[in-house]
Amino acid sequence: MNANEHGVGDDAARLPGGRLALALTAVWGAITFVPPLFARELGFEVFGLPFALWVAAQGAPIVYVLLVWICERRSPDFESSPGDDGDGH
Amino acid sequence: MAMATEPIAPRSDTAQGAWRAVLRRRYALYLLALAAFTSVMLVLERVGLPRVWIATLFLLLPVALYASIGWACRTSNPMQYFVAGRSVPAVYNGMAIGADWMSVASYMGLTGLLYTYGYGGMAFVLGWTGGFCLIAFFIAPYLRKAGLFTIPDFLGARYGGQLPRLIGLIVTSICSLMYVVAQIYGIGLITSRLTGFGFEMGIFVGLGGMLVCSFVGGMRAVTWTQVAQYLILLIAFIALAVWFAFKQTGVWLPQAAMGQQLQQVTQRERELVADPREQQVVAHYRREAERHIERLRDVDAALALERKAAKQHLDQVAQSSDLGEVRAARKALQALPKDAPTAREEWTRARDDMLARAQPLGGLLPQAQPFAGDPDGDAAARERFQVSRTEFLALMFCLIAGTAGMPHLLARFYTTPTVRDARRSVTWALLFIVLLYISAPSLAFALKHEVLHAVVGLHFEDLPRWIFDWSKLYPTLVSVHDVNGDGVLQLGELRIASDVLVLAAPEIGGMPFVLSCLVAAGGLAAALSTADGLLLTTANALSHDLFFKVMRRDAPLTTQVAFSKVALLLVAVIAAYITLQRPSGIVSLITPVFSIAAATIFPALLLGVVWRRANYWGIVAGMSVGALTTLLYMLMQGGPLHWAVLGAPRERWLHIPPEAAGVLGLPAALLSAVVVSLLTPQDRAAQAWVATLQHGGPHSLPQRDV
Repeated sequence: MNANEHGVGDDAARLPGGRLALALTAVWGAITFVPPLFARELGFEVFGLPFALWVAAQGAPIVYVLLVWICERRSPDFESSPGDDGDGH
Repeated sequence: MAMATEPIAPRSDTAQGAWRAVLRRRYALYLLALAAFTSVMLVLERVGLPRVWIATLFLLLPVALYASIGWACRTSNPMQYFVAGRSVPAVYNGMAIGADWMSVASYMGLTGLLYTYGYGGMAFVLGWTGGFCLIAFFIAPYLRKAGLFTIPDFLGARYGGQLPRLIGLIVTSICSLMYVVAQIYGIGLITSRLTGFGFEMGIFVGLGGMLVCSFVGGMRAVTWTQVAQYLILLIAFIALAVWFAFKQTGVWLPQAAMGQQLQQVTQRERELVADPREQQVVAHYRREAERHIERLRDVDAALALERKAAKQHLDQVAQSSDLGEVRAARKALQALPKDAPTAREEWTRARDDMLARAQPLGGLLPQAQPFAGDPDGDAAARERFQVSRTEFLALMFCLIAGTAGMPHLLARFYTTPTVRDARRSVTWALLFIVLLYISAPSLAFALKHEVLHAVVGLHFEDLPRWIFDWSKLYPTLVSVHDVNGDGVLQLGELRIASDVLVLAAPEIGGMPFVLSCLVAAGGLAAALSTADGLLLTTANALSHDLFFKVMRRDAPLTTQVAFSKVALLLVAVIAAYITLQRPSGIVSLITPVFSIAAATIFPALLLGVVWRRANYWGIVAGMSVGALTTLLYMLMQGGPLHWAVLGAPRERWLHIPPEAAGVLGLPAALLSAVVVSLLTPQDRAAQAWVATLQHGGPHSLPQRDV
């Protein structure tokens, strides 16, 4: 296939585990950017804290760990590489 | 080329298992020793060992320990020196990344930001953790698969030629240098507060400990020291958060205590806003601000007037015989700004300072309220809200992308045995980092709670000792001033620079002195570990990418190691020299670094991995445009990097603060990289290289050294 024919998004999806990575990126983007955008509106309480504040202080960091963990567990294995057998490149 | 001369990574599963068992034993022993040492010190404090002794032991022994780990790991083997033999198991690489990542900015700066800016500080929590997701999804596994030595090395291999490597090298050096200055500044603060050493002496002791480590053992020594440093910094920080949580709410878990702490803080904030004596203080600052505004209307006239008044006063007192009075009058005359531009600068700064203080709660935002201003208020309040929210989002964006492009962090992913281990080490690293980051808000609330309930409202003669100790040492960082003359401390009369809050926290909470030392030792570990990683990254890039790949292609690898050691010394000395000029604060030094990395290294790596069509000229254009956009915006906008040649600070564009210039730089970089790549011929060799990087099996990555 001619690499010229597809753009950045197509290429990213073609990475090993690329679709998963894009899906996880979407979840990541939502939890990162939506609560700060509507921080005043999302003022209802969770564990005694306003929701947007709780997301930033605890929710989002914990979700990040989960997302990275899912990515690690579900991504296909691809092994490497020059250098790791001690021969250099 | 033959690279290894001594056995490096244990390859087989049994060897790996034995290697892990050794590591587990060693670090368990280390933790036991740490616990024993702290207990002995607690006993000695009870018995009455002078504080200076306890503090000195607490700072020197860990530094000696780090230095001996470094010495035990000394090596001249290039594979060990540059990438720790690619033998670091994922969990330990996770801890090393944790220590590498969490610098004084996370350890001391973050809690202070959350205390000072409330929700605004969350941009740092989200930015400094969120970036790891991008690293995990798109960067770390591919870096490890490429199996190279430095980040500029990856750019050189991916895009070919010399320019991408060189631009990467320049950016890496600038970022690391500014970052390391912040660490050394932190080291100076910690040592000068706790021991009798001055700021300068503290810097050199810290620098010594740091150099022994990275100088003799490179990445191998730095890795194993960082694991030890991670453990001490995490334990100290968590101990602090747990102590306050239990003391204030009776709940051990800081994350569970947060809600109750915040509610009590909010309650007290309401009382203080309504307090007439706090309002007197606000009115005083407003009058001061207006005085400066009046002066700034006609700087020349105001300056002439003041000079005349000061001269008259001097002439008057010159007749009297009181020498002290004459000296004071002469000093007052000399203290006036030299010329009109200096006067304008000084008075503008004073005006902004006073305007910031002339707010309820001494200029601190209510802890629970996201953003300043009010979206439903009058035009000014709506504007303030918009600005505050835009600043938050812009800053967070830069911190995220900057994290995913931070060279000293990314270089650590070369050190794992396999690609899978690189992926695993991101998960571990993020987990280890998040442990501290989700405790920091609780600690910030706790400190606010303590200050509002236990300090504000005291009579000046009853103020706790820490206020005097700190304000004597650093009057610019901590000060109290009875503005309304009622003999009682109002919140508006207390200034605490956010950088010192965590260090002062044990004293604020009335803990044993040993805990102050442990917290300081944790801060020192955070500073040293990050500084080590930064120095090594810069030195390796200078040695491997400039000396070896560009200047002397025939140099043997052992010469590269020697060259890296020389570069290391040089960078350390330059950084120490800059720090001695007393920079303005930890976070204001570090944020611009993230913007620069976000606009250069991050797009180059991301496009390099996900878009095969990206080519040499595309990335040269992208990185240059990104760097120029970011730097120009910062230099024109004022802030710590403002460059006077470009004239007075301009109006902000779209409310973007100068330190978040990466929010303009990154799109500019991506756009120009894509456009130029499409306009210039395809690079088949590069495309084949990326295809192998993305899909190929082992050992098939073609050599692309040009």
